[in-house]
Amino acid sequence: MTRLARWAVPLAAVALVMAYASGRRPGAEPFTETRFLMDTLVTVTVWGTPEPDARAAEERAFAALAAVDQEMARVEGTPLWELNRAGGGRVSEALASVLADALAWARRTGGAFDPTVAPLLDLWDIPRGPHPPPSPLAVDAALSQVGWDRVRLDPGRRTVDLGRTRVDLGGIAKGWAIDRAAEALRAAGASDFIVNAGGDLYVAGRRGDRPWRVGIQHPRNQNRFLRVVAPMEGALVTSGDYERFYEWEGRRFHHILDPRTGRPARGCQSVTVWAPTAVDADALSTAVFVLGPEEGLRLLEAQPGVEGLVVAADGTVRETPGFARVAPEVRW
Amino acid sequence: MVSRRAFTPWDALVVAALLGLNLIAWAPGRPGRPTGYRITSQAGSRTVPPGSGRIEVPGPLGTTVIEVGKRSAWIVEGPCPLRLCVRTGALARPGRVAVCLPNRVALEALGPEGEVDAVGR
Repeated sequence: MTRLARWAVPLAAVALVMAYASGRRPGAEPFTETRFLMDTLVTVTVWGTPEPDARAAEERAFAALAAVDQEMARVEGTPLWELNRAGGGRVSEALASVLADALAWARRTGGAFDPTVAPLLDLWDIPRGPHPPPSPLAVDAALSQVGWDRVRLDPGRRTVDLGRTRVDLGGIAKGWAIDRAAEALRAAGASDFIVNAGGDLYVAGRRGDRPWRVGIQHPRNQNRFLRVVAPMEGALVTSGDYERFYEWEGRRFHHILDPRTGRPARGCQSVTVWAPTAVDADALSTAVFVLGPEEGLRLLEAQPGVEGLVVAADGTVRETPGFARVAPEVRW
Repeated sequence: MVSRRAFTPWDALVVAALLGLNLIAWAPGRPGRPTGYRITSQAGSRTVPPGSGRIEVPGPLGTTVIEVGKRSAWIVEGPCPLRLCVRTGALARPGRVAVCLPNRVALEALGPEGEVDAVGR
């Protein structure tokens, strides 16, 4: 046997080690940019695009998000603020589109998602921190100003009559903004990216030789994930009672209000919805949270191309039959 | 002079060692400890190494205090009413985030191969 033949096996083994090692080397990193926008922390992550292009794409995504924020945040000076102040008027194409989506989801969910909850949000004022909950009388008074079916939108003329209600788009505008950011990234040539607005995600493509890995937050243990998944391209949006809440006399008061009772919804700890678009996932995650696990899962199963996972108030985890298909669990 | 034996015990040892290395290289990786922490505020982002100690970050409501240890980092104190950032506790794995929204301060654990690429919450 020649010297070369004798060393063929060890040499082949060395080659294999080098090949595996190079494949596993951390090497390229995604480009990540983080900013505070839309009253939350927004991170845009792009993979596999040369740095200047990735940075440019991220800038376009942030510009798209900022544009939505400047128009639809319920803070003084924005067009939405002016619309609420005036009780109606002509709106931009973007605002008309989000209002149309919001009213459509309000209709489809029987009012479990309702964009006219602004008076209730103001009354409960969860971000202010621990304080006594409002009186039943005050809740009833605020509830009398809530009702999506009083809003009249003419999509052609882009005119709105709020019918003496006030609109808050917090349950849907973030999703709409995420979709616009994803569009901007694609238009800039990026195909592998994550848009993460406060834990509401749009996931596209892969991270190199593996899929993107997303941890779904455990609603009662900040240090645990309920599940780690590799979602299909689309949106993964979570609503939970642990995101903005305070405790008063042993009870948790959180920011997801039931438009039918005027009080924090009590049926779930968290709801995660996968949908092709973030605007739909956003509205649906809120609606399912409000409806509770039984009715909420029925609603999800009635929506084509949408799946979800629900953690009920007692901690029981339930999901639609197709959730594991659109968001398969990752073990590594 | 070249040995006439085709495959000696030493060759077998070398092959076994290399195959062992292959297995290690092939085995699925486990997430490691953070290699740094990104602190984002209204002033922008900066990255600090593990063990940086106490860091005070100004925000619109006041000062958020962060402790960056060798193995984890956490928000110690903040001026926010809900104090959810403090409740988040220690970030010991890459990909974990603690955020104080009212004071516009975020702490993220960084690493080359995080447990996850994003957290849905």
